[in-house]
Amino acid sequence: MAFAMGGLGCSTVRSSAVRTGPLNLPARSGAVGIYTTAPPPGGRDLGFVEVHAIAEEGVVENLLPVFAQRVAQLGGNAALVERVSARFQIVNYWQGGYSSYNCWHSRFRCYGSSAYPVSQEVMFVVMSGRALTAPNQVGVP
Amino acid sequence: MNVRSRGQKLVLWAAFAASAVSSSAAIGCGGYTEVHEVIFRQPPPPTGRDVQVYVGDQTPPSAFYELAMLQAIGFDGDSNLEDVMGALRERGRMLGCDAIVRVRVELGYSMAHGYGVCVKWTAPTTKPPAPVPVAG
Repeated sequence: MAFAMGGLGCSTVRSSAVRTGPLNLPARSGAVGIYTTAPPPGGRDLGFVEVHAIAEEGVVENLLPVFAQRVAQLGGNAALVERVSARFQIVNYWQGGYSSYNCWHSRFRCYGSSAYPVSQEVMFVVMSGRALTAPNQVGVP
Repeated sequence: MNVRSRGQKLVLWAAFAASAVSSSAAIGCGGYTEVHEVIFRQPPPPTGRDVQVYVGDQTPPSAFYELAMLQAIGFDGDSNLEDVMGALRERGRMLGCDAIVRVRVELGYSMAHGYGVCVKWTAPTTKPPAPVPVAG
């Protein structure tokens, strides 16, 4: 799947953010402090955020900036990354191609297509956590 | 003619694919590990000490501050707990971490994924250095 999407030039990075609780802040721009082990002191929950991607795009360098963007969209200035986990799936698909060859007893070229089964293990990586708003946010846990 | 040759080619490709799978299973030794990271603070020089590991919700014995987020992905022969943990620990040592906390590892058939947070113990009187903010 990732290989096919990669071939088409599509990114596999997807994300979502859901507002939770009573606090409702407008989207903001600017720096977002990143926390990975505990929320910032006085931090108040704004929502739940997740980012996921497949295969080579599922790395923290790709996922974290998107996570921070989603936090800012919920009006947060602090991101608590609670979990980065992976799951694996074997994907079966047919790989095909076209080829040309000399036709039998002929000077003409023949063209044909072929397909063969391929199995590939694909890794899905999910980064999930919370968007928060914290007073005096400088990102120091 | 065309249909027949296409059928022959399909059989050939299937045989080739099957032989490729069996030969890779027979060899099955090579492997490599990638390490990815996001650094939150300027890392201190390596201490040379062994890096402690705390899995899941295990609580470290000291207060700490976060230095970096680490991710290791092992492929083929390295798709196991030891190689992934070894890669996280080695990268942590190079970054000057005292410990890697919140560690979790998931294993697939030919891939393994490990994640952890590289931390530095906080001395009672020192304040952690300022973090590098991530733009929203």
